[in-house]
Amino acid sequence: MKNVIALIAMALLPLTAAAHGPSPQKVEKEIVIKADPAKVWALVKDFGNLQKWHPAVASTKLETKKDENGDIQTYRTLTLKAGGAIYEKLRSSDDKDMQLKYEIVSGVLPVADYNAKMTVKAGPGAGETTVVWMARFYRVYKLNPPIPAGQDDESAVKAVTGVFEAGLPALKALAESK
Amino acid sequence: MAYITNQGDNTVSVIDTTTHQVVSTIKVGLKPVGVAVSAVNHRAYISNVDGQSVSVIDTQKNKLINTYPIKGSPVGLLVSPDNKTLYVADWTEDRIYLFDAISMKAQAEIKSGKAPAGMVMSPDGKSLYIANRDSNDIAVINTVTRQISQRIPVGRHPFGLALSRNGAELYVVNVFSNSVSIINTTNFKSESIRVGEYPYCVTPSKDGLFLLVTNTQDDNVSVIELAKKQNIAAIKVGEVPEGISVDEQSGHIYVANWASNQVSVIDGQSHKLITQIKTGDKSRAFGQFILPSIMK
Repeated sequence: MKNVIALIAMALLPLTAAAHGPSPQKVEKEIVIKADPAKVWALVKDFGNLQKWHPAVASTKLETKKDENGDIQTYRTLTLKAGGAIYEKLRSSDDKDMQLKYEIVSGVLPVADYNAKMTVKAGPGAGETTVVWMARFYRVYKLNPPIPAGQDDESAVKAVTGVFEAGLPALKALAESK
Repeated sequence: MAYITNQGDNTVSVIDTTTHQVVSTIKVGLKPVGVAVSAVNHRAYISNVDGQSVSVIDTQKNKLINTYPIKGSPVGLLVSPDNKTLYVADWTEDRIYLFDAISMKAQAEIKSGKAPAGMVMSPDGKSLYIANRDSNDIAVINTVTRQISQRIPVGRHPFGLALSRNGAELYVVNVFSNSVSIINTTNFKSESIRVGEYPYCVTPSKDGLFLLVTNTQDDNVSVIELAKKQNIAAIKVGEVPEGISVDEQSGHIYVANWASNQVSVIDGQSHKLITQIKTGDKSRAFGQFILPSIMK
């Protein structure tokens, strides 16, 4: 928990959504929760309230506006406990498949062109729910080597891993509380 | 045979397109992405973007011939229709490098737009089309003068390209606009068709009646009926589908799924998923990656 806040805090690089390096990175984590899928999905899909379960998030501000394609979209600003913010766009929220998709527009994570999805499904056991959190993104540095410290693939993967590994146990704890 | 680049474990999975089995796994350079094949040369060419190199595979033995260093970050690859020249797009230096497709001797450089990605060439070999991802346009290169003869504006972030069999139409996938541009290669007029989220690559069907487009964020493939210029269906495939090619022998469509480490095979007539084949870690297969077995 302290680690993830430190990680996010030190990653104070501005994010450029447009240009990115050539090799996408992946982080995928899952957790089994002893709670009803509907209860877990209600927490996951609540795009405007990430501070309810993610320990690195102090507050969430929700807004809707037009994107570059002229479509009305939902955005959120995550203000982090360690300082800094992450601005994200909701791509879709599907009650039937219990799947939420979002992207990072800008923020303090050392990543570019970041897209993620959270999938909620029943099982593996009776009364259990599995949450899978998967992100695809690029490092910040997009030119030929040498790659500056903190802008490489490892830094990007480490930061996202930290966010997921801090978030999922906290989501589980909240969902399993009465 | 289908040659599938696996970014995560630096290999190429070779799939027998008649049995749908992986028959060989070949170690290449760092973070392979692009593929080009030549039946005449008996070679598959692989771009290793982080390794800054091109690996060449002998397609009769399915063994690595050699890995050649390149000065930039190679992504898109193309073999000219006469099989003599390999074109390598350098993502970071905005250039296309030309090599002798057998000796791999450097021959020339061509200036492109920003972040060149997909490339295709007219069947007569006279025009090279380059998707300039960060210029939001297509550069048409006269292959004799090696100069840009035309720039065609498209949607935002063009990536994958394909041509109709006769070269009359160019198909461009616009990643950030969620669309495909259909461009008349004579008068350069274009129209765009909306597809799914974050589309990457496109191939025409064997009969030329449909376009199939991978939508990376929707985990499906859009089917466009060309006569109606309409998006008529979405075929569920693996997770984060990227590269797509048609097997000219069977008409089957092959899709490399980056996030689920597999290749999906789609029937070219019914547009139904036939099977999924396990490959390596983070399959991409950017480019025309199928060598028809009939032409071996």
